[in-house]
Amino acid sequence: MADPVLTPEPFLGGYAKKFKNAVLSEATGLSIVFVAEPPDGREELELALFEKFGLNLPRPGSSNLSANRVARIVWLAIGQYLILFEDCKGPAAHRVSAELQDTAYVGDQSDNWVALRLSGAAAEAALERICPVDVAKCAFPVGGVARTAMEHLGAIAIRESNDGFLLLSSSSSARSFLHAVQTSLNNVH
Amino acid sequence: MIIDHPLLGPRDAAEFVCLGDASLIERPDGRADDALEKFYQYQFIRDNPDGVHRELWFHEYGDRSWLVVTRNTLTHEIYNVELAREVAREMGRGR
Amino acid sequence: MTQRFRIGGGLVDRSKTLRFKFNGMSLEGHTGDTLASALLANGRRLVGRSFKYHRPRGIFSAGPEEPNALVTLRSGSSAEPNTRATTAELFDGLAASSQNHRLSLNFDLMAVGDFLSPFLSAGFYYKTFMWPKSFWEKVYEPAIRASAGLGALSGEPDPDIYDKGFIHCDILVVGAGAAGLAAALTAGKSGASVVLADEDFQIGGRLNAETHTINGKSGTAWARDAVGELEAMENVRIMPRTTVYGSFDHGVFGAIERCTDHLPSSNGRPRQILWRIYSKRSVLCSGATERPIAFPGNDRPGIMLAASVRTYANRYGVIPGKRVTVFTCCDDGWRTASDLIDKGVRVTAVLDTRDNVNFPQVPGARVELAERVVATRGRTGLAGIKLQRGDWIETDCLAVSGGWNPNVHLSCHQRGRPRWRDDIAAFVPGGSIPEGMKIAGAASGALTLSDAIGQGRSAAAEFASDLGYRTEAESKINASDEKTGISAFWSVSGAPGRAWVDFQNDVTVKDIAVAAREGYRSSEMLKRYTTAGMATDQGKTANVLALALLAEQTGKSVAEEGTTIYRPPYTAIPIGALAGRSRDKDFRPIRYTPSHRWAESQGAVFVETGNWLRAQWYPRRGEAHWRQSVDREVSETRRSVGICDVSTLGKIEIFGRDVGEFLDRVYANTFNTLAVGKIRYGLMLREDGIVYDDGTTARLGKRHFVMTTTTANAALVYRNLEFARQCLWPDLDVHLISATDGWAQYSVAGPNSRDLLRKVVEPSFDLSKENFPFMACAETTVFGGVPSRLFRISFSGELAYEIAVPAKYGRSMMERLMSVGEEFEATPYGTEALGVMRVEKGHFAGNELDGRTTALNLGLGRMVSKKKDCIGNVLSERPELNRSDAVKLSGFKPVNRSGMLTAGAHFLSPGQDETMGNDQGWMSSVAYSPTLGHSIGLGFIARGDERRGETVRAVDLVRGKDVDVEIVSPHFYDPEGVRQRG
Repeated sequence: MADPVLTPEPFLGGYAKKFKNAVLSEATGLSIVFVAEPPDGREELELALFEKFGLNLPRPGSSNLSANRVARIVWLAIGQYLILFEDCKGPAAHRVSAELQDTAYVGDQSDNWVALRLSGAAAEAALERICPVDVAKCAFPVGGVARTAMEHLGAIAIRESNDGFLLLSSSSSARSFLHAVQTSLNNVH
Repeated sequence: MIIDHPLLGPRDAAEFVCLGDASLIERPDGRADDALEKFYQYQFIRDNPDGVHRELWFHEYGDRSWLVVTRNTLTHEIYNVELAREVAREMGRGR
Repeated sequence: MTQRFRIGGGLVDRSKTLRFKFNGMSLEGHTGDTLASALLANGRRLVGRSFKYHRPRGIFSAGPEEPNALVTLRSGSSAEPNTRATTAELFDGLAASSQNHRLSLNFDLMAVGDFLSPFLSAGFYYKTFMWPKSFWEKVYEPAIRASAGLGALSGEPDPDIYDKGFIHCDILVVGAGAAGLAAALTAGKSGASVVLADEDFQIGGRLNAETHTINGKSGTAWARDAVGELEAMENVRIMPRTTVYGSFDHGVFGAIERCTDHLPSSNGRPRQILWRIYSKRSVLCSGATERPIAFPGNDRPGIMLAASVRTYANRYGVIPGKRVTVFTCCDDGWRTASDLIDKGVRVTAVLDTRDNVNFPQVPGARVELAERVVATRGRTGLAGIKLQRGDWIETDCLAVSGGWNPNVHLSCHQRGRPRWRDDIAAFVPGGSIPEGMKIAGAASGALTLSDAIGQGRSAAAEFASDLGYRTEAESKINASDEKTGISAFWSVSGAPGRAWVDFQNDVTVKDIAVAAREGYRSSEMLKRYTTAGMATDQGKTANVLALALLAEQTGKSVAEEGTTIYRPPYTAIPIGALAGRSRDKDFRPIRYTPSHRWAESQGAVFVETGNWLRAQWYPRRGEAHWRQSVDREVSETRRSVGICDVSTLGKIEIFGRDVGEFLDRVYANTFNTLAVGKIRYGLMLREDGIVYDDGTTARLGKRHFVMTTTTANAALVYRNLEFARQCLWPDLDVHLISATDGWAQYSVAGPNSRDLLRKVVEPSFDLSKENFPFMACAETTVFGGVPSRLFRISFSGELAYEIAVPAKYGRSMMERLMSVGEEFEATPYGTEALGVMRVEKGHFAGNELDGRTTALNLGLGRMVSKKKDCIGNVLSERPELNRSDAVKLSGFKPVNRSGMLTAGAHFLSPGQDETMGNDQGWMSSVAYSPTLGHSIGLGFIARGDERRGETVRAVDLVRGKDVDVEIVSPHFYDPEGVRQRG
């Protein structure tokens, strides 16, 4: 075949823009893996995750970064987590599945989500316009996770740093989600 | 309204979908001899109290957990919020 | 002659002159003015006409309680009617116009209503327009509509943008007067997070309007210092120009911030922001509103609330008149006289209704006790007042004080019912006050400054310590302890002429008497019958007066009469602010499939299905009608191969050891026997036995299944599955995660689909009928390594597959499918062709699953397993649902093949009347079948399965059609399924 390979296309075309006091960009290199605990399997999963990926199981409403900072595990629901890998080579879910074996159920979620990175002094104020959950530093420290509704869209907000957030929302409505965040940034000027 | 999620803390009711009476957890056995009568009661006959009411709420925009919210339908005061899964187990539901 | 009523002092910046227009006339004011203060500075007293009688009206107050001075601000698409001149901040270039008059403000044609007033008494709508009945539509209603309405909308789209937002705090302080500032300072110092909101642009409340002192400083200076101190605290957020308009459950408040209303242009910023404030505690420091006294002719421009008169003098340096008189029943009214005299304004007389008053010195003023005003004169402005003793006093401004009403509104929003306090002759907050709220200052009935500050501090201190913050003892405050004596006085009786109670709705003392006489003797009925308190000001100056007058009529005390309560919003909220960003295209989110842009490039016509946009058909050059495109897409698919984007179908990944068992319980048919690599069609019932969704579930691994749902029900099915796994069978090992958006999925259908896919999937994958038969599934790769899922399922009745790749490859996948499909003349098809083919094949869809139909009705009664307990199977056994004459899904062909069928038609036997009793069923879906060359339909008809070949009528009364149709099998096309299994 002449052109054997398919070309992946970021949901927002790799969007990146500087605003006054904030930067907003699409995180295109993220692989997202769903991991769920078999019954009575938390300890085994905890051990395996630590051994294979250097990850500690997070508590509700939070996330943990691996020691080498390439993976972040996010609490999703009771017994369910998402692991986020930066710039992962190859299908992350296959790798996780191979490493965790029977200690977890594993599914690929990478393309289910569009990811936006929002950082800068205006980030909190912009989120205040769309996010009903308190994202002030004192209530939402680094590593904090909130899954909620923003402008009628389901979204997950993760505080990655003092003034930086990773926002995940459904990939099919990526453009509406981007518009919501952009509008907030424009409106807080 | 604010629902104090047992795992995630206070969340706006807008994140939830309300189903109704928590008695819906007590689904009868479909193979019992009087199943038709039991299911008729389960599905169609419900109290509509003015006062304390236990309701099922689904955290649709959150962690997708079903909660049992004990709420006063007159004052909207919320007395207790529990994970429905725990409530179901306490009622003897399992597999 | 400009600003000839401007005096010295106040908080306006005289170095900044602002030019504005009122009814086209150019005027000047200063920074710090409201439109009302600037109009008064220029001697403009007449500013509007009343709603019913079109009486000339002037500025009555200096705040949000204003009933009269409603103007239209700005013009064109930016015009905002019913703006209170008393709260509109002046800016350079402001243009305002008066409302409610034809011709000019000074000569209003509609004022003829004033002469007809004897016919326009309380309840006049109910009485007058009853007879003759035939007049209502042709005469009365058009006349009423022509005169109704307050102000006028531009009729153009609002050019401004609006936003919403969410604020979280420990303590919300509503109102930034003395009590609010004191509360915010105490709370702020404790470390609690505080929001201090005030509707005014100048923080300080009445501190800015009075001449009080605190610790030797002027009230204004104290307020300014307090703001400075609060601004330095990181945990305090001060929000001026922000009205907290509603108190909702569990500490949630609604507030509207007016961001750019005080600027000539919004400059791309949101004009207003609607905030939802989540508070743990709240302190209501909303102050009090002065109330008037009703007396004949009390509505002339120049008659104002007494405290408002001194607000204009003290805060704005404006005097509303040059010969001021005061009419009061309380000590507070005297303060207006003192303050004006101190500023050198001539106060002609002070009249007090009480006979024994220890009053202050009012040099130059005639003082009359036990006196009252019985008449006034002046056509478009006050010229004189008549005393009960008979003589007239010349005056151009009468300051009236009937006492103060605490602003209890927010305390009522959760059915708190204010209670009457005789000592201050006012209603104070009572009953069920919102949880976590305390009321401080004048809002609680504490009418002195020292009490206000003390209450604000103690409320905040108590709340701060409740929340775990430490408060320290605060220094003593030295504030004036002013006199607040009052003897309630409501209206001057025994004098002729109309005395107004509700200025905006033109309700008079007499109207209330009439209502009481006619039996409307409760406060709630009085309000509705007379419309008192139902105008845009919500009766802020009128309500208590109206209730007191009703009490007089019914012989009760005001306490016994009680009050109506208040609902949100405290002041009017523009619809634009409530809509926020949710307008036009942004009304709701849009979901795009991964290859949407490819479909756009092909000129596809899109249809909204829920939030999704889906390609409906792909017009080609020369096709003038949608049917041509759809017929072609169907024919080409059936002839060779077609490709349809089916990414919108709900996809739920299910993991666990017990998934087979779980599926057995949520589907009506059996699933635990499904082998790895196989797919089964499943029917989902509601617990009441009605079918609500269907789809396929594929078993990809021992503990891994993928369920598909219909596009519309994806969220509902997911919710129900979670219910089943958490609430019904909590110990089954089942995990769910939605994967709808993760995959771009395409149906490849038609006799050449297998050959096309051979060029797509990895060469080692054996697509033969033997290795990959109908209802098989597999994980494979496409185009040299992209992971993919392949399902051999068919909705069209053809040999067909659905192939999925990760969503980000969707567009590329579609392009490649089309390019390798060129040799087969592959045709993209849309939802319309999809629908035609499913009707031809006899598959039911949303039209058939209308919340009434059972598996039996759908012809799938045997699919509901009797061997297991699944959701809905018990109640599907209900006798009524299993009647022998139940409707059955059937196919319908027009007897005259050129006839067109319509969905929604009902079936009748030949010759029967079109009555409900003769109704035998309904047509649910129709299509023109290019394959058969005529119109076909699916529908439900009683015992349809036994009546094949019979002719009935399809009667559509809505579209006026009556077509003879033949009952046939619903499977019009390849009923044996040879093609899809090929």
